[in-house]
Amino acid sequence: MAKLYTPAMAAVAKKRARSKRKATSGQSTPSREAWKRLKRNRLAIAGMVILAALILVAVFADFLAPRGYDVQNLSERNLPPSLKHLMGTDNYGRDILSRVIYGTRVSLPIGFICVIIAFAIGGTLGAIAAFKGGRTDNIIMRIMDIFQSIPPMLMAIAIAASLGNGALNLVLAISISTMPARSRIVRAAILTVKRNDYIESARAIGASSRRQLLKYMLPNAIGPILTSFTFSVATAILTVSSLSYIGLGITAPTPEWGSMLSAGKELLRQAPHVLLFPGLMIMVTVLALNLFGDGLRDALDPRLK
Amino acid sequence: MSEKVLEVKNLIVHYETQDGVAEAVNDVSFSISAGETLGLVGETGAGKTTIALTIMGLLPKPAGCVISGEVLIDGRNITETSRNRAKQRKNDRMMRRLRGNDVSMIFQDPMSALNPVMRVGDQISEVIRLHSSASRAVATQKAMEMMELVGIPGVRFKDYPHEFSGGMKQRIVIAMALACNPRVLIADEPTTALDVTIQAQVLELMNDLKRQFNTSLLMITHDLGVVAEMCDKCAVIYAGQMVEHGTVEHIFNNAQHPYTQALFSALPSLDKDVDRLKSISGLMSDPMDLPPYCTFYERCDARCHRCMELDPPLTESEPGHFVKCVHFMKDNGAPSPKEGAAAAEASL
Repeated sequence: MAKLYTPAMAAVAKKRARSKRKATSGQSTPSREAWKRLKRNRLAIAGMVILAALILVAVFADFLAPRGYDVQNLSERNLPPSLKHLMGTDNYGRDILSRVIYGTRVSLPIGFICVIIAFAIGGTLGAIAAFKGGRTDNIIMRIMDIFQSIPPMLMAIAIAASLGNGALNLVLAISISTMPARSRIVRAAILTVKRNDYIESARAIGASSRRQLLKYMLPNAIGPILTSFTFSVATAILTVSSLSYIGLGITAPTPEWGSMLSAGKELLRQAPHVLLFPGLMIMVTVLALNLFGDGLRDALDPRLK
Repeated sequence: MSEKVLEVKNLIVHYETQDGVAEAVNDVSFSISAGETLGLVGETGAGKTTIALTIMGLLPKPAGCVISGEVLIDGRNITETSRNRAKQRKNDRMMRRLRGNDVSMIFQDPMSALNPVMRVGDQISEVIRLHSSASRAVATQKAMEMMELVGIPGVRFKDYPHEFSGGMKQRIVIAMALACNPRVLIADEPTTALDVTIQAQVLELMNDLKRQFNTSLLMITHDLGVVAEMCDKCAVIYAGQMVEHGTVEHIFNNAQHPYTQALFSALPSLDKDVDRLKSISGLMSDPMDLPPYCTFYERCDARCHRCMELDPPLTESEPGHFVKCVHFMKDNGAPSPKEGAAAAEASL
């Protein structure tokens, strides 16, 4: 034994240990490597900063908004942007800036929750399908195919229309309609790592199926899943706005960007700002998420280095 | 020494694929006593890895199936399957407890045998925690000891696999395999993926640890040098069958089966200067379509008319030395392989 453990190795080990004590950040973990690559991508960082800013806006909406989102002032209808109303007012004389700010509290959480639910249900099913294979895989994926045979948007409209308005129903509609696509993503990701030798060696040390799936396959497959998560949030926010725009989602006076667009479309000629700002917000949010997702994909996929 | 830790009896394993049935392992029997090393030698596709996977209970489902035979680990049969679901689940659970604890395996390619997103220390301590009620701290302590034992400083406990070289990764795999002090260790070509200088170190390490823990070792390799260095007994596998089986001395000093002899003549020799090495002409018989007679017939230098007539059984040619060849069958009237070869040459 002693022969294998040479003094030189001991010296190196000591040096390493010392440098480690000095700065634990020197260690390279897979996630830290990814973060390093992500930091180099300026667009992704821009997306991340915008996203963080939006989240902060949502959290501190009460302090940031100059007025309540439903405070009406009929003597100030459809005013163009001015110093008093930075984004102008709408047809009820409500301050659009305040409504846009409060809108982050609706769109962002709904977008995230929809995707989390879709991934929780669809992802679990997809993971089980990929792991078990054979008949289980076939049954689960054929059911998903049936779901997917209806275009997600139409399905969301159908569910939202039958359940009625409201945030909860909207979340349900979007989660269910996007679930099959998410299950496919997770299934594909698990399938690509499933054949690896370390899965075999996990079986060889007697790890249970659950352990193999949760500790060996999922962490190794997390890259594509995480990436598609961010893109999915962007899509979900768009879907929320679309459904609200056609009157199936969030109802007035709750300031949802989609429904604000919808309300503004009649005033397009007289007061384009009513429509402009909520539209811009949707665009910026989706753009930020997509930029961040793009960067994340590049950072997590070692082949794209 | 006589206590048999691992026993394989008349094992037949088939892969049932859409193109047909591949007869991967055909009637293989062997046993290993405590502390003993058996070398399984054979060319690619001979069924060595299939034998190992069967012992681990890791045959790829649903294609691979054990047609008949038994694998006994400490007298417990692990190939039993049951149609009864509850019973089968119980079998599976027992098998899972066995894996890593009583039998463990070292894989061919250390580069891909470790989970890239888990710290190596955690991977070693996981084996310990899966098979004992050890607390996290105790398991960590034990894992560090194992790392030191295989010559890797314990401070590297928190490093990830990509921070190690191939040889070091293989040591970690060895540490993982030995963490629970298994009765049987299966090494599936443990040095094939390593470069030559590291090979010797790893083999020496395995030998040391094996002696220290009194582990039985099943060494799968196609490197006869490794067999000479490591093994007590040796079995030569050809087309899923055992063609020669004996102690290392039997095989190396008195190889009797024409295939084994051909393997040795394909090795460069230190004391003779040879321009061309002898190769074995032809390919191994297709496991989907094995002949009913001797499987080595097509490539054999010593074949004769008798070889096509029957599939010779494994015959004891001298105490403890078994050969599966017509020429060694009792009272068969066929010439010995050397004479056969001479006759074949004369006829040319």
